[in-house]
Amino acid sequence: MAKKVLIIDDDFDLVEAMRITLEAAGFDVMDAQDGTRGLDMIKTESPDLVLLDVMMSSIDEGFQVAYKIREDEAIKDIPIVMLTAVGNQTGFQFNPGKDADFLPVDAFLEKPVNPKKLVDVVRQNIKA
Amino acid sequence: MSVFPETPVFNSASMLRRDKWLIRLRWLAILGLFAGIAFFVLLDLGSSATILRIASVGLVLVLSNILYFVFTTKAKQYSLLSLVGLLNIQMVIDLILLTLLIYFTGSQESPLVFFYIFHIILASIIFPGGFSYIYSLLVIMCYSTLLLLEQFNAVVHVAFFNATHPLEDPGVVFVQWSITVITVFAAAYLAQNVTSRHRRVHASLKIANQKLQEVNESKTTFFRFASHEMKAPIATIQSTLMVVEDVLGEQVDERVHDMLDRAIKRTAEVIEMLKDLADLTYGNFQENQHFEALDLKLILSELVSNNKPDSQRKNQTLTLDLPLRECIYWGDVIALKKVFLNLITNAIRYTPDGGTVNVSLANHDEYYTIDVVDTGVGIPEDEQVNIFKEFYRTNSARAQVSDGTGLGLAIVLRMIELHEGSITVNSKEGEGSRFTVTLPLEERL
Repeated sequence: MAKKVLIIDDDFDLVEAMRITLEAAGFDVMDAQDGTRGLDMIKTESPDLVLLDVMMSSIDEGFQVAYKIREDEAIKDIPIVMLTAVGNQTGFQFNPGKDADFLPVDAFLEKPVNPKKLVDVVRQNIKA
Repeated sequence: MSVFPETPVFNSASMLRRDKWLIRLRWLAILGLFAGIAFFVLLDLGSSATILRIASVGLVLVLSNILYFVFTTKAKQYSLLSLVGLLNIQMVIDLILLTLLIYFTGSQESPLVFFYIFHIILASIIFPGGFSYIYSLLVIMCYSTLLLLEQFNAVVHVAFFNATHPLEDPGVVFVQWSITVITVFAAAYLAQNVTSRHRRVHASLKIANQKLQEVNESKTTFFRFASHEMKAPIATIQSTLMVVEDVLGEQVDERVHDMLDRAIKRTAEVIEMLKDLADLTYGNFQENQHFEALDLKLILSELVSNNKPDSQRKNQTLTLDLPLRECIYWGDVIALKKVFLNLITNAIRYTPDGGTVNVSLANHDEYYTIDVVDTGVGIPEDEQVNIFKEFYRTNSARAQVSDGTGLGLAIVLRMIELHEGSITVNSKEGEGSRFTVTLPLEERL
């Protein structure tokens, strides 16, 4: 059965671009436009991986959603790939290894999203 | 109601500066007085008793000036009022001593009367508005008292420049007195007028400068906002183009494929430019600056090892020299990394295959220097002044590397200025370049 990927991002065009790439690579793709709907969908649809935009309606909505996922016993093990904004302020590079303590995500992908890289990162982080 | 106008010119800091200035000025006056005494002796003017009395006034001046000096330097902090008090005491004592000197040198015949004018000018420079008129009145009071005392023979006239007192006629004395009074008040008016105009200009310049700063800030805010708002859609466009290229793959015509490639490259360039524009505004906003204790050795080692692959690709030797001592610096890690990364990648980029790039750190007593030296193309001397300007790219840089925003070194300069440091370039065309960053070590809280 195809693995399910949930994209939580409010940029419709970017969601569509990623959907085309991921579907071509054999994933089932769902999407949510904001954090609240995203959290609901994680519970109802139980995706195998979440692609989470760092900044939606508020500057740190993505982080808030990530914390909520990790705090909820039922869904805390879902892999999260965080999509970061371009050159985030000053090109500060997140380092998942080092910052894992306070950024509870598995990987980062910087926008613009390269399709090959997207598929690679999703494959690496999704649980078999 | 406050005696002092609410202008920035009259605060305790500026009054303290004036106090110190007045003390320095008084030393000069004392020097002049003793030179005058030497002159009198040389020309055989005045009796030795008078010379002695003049010298003792000089001595009192020396002692009082030492006292003012000690008083000014001893106390750490002064209120505006106590400083104004101290300055007034000095001025009044000076006035009395000057009147004494005038008396010793022949009262109305004494050319020292002119020195009263200096007093008025000083008062208008040191104090706000009305003070120069108050001092004019004081001057007139001192001078009139002296003349009246002599007229009524309460004190004996000193014939200094003439053997006898030529001004026995009270009418002549009165006319000369009137002229002196008019001179004093005219001087007060003129000096007061000039200094107040100067102060008004000073204040309006300050306001103009503040407005300029505000305009600059709003420009920066606009840049930051605009670049931020544009980045997201362009990133999405680029992502979409990449997906299109990926999906179409080999099916399409080579020309379409190239076209897509170029479009992707151009969106990437725009994104680069927007990132750089955002970087240029870095630090203008307190909230994104973060100063902390940084290990410069660690930062440089990391950056150099991260850039090793790029230099190896060009068969270059990339080396790093670090001092043995610990190099801790109070700075903003994002800004400093940007500075060093920019300089290192530039060096690698503009150094031909097989060249060398050396990065070194040195600590001096009051500053650190970081040198990035390459054996690259170098920068022509006439272009060196421009390389830190926004959007400037040297001709050879343009010829050699087509992409690049021309903002890199402007960002470097901006980030170094954030640390109150400086950067210099030393380069010879065809031989290489040396960029030296100086970061001052100063106590920051």
